[in-house]
Amino acid sequence: MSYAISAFGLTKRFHRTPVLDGFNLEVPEGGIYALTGRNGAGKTTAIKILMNILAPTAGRCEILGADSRRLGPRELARIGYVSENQEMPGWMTVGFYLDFLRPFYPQWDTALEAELVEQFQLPRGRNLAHLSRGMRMKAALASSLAYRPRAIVLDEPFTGLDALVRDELIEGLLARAENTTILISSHDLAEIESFASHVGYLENGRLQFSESLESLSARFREVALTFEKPRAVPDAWPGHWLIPEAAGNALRFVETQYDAERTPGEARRVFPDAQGIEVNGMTLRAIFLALAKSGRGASV
Amino acid sequence: MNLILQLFRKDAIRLWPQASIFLTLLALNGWADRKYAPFNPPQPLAFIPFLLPIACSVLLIALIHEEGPVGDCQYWLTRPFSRRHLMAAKILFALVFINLPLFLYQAAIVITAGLPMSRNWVNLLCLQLFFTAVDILPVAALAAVTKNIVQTVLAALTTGAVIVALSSLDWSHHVNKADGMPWIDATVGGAIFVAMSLPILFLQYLRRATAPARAILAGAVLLVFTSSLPYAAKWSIQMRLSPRELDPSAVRISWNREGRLVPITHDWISSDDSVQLEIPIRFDDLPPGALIKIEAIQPVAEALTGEVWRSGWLRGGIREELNGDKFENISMDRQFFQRVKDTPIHL
Repeated sequence: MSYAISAFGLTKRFHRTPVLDGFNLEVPEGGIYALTGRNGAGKTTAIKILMNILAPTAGRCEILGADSRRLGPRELARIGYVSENQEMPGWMTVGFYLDFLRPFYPQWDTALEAELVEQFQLPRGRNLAHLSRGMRMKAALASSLAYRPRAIVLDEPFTGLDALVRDELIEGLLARAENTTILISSHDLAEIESFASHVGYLENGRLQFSESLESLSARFREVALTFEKPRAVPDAWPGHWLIPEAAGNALRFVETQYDAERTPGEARRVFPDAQGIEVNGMTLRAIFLALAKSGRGASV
Repeated sequence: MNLILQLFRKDAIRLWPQASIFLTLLALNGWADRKYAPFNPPQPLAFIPFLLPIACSVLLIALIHEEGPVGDCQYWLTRPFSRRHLMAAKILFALVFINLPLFLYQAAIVITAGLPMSRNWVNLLCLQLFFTAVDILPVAALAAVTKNIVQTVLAALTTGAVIVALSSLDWSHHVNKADGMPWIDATVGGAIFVAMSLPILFLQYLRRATAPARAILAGAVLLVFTSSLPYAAKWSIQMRLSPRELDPSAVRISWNREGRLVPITHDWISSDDSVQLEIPIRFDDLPPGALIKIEAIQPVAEALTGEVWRSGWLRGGIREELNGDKFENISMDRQFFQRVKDTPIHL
């Protein structure tokens, strides 16, 4: 499998504070990779290093085959970047901004630009500073899609946006980026789940897991056991079961290695007195919360 | 080149108000100069020479901050133009909107004064180089290590305040700073800032290294303070550059016997340890047209008993009365003065 974006042992320290510690990443070509993690986990730092905005303390990364430290105009003309904390030239109108950027991109598609402006209902004559947050993100996205980039990097693009704007952004992104590799960092797990192909979870500066969403969804299950009388959580506990909770006659845990045949049998071995076993699928948000609560990642 | 022109065009559209103010002030200054020279123009116009450098600096700072090199959130960091393109566009803008108008302004002065441009255009170009080095580069360097104009102004004020504070500390202890050749220190200081501006701009635009660039700026401030040349070196420079060959040893300084009989003591400005004396002095064999200025003195007094009082180097200064009598102030040890005050001494 070839990767459009990769990072190898990326380390970043701000003074003495480590933010990334041996971060590795592989985003398959054409994939939509969601980089998740708590606030301060290092997602934005990783993305800024990838885009050559920050220099790594150690390690390296590549995007579209180019070392990110050597990203020049030619490479950047094929990469889109949209970030929630990007400072845009507020004095420019939307139209002026697009007109200004156009000559820098040999692949700029004026017809596509017009389509995006129409789809996002961007007011060409209004200053970027006077746009709402959602409109500004749309303008940023339009200016990053109009040249049909081969890779798009989005850093928390949905933060603070209402559901309608988020939908519009995702729709616009997916409709115009068919053969494009997308790396997106986001807290909005519910949205990501609807379109991401791969997901990675960053904690303590390391990628705790990285796999396809399909495989992740397949192996995480919430298991609920019922007993005749209240049951405490036993001391001995399989390592791949997370955050056990006992409440009345019920006991719940998260199975991280779910197998339709093995998991019920293992549960019965640990809890021979269980009267009922119920296995439920989990959303990405529920998986993320379970991992965050348990403080586990790589071990699962 | 197209990318550079595109960036230049954008800056021209964005910064036309600042550029217009600068160009208007420049034109007004030229007009006022032509109308009122050699007299000072009336009050509002008299401020233009002070406003011009401010307007020029504001334009430059705004130009740099349009795509500021400090920070990691600017839109242009991930757009397909390099910092080299950016620097080239900024240089082009400064040439077109600052250097060229200034050159034309000075050329107009030369022409209206009836001087031939054919003999002066090289001088005018050199003047532009000097102006670029002394005014544009340091301001651009300061703007390049700051994020907005408030930071730039604060950094400039802080830099100035630190230099003044350090200099004033030095003033009280060393005679070196008290000389009458401040232009040498100012020139050395200016040269240091010019020399530091280039690596700062290089680091910011080509290496994206804000911390080292700021460290260089701080280093420049310290270097300016510590770079004061020894008195002898400055004197030597001054003498070498002096248009008139003068042998200082030919000038004789002596006690003015025709002046007042005794040194005048000023106890009211003396301390417990010292007493201020005013010695009537005269200068002989001063070449015609030459002025004398005492920079520093090192008085040595020898009593009849053989006791010697020797001061370190002190700031010198001549007080001249209306009748032409001149006095040199010295600060003498009070105990020595009390012992010898009624006896002859060799000073």
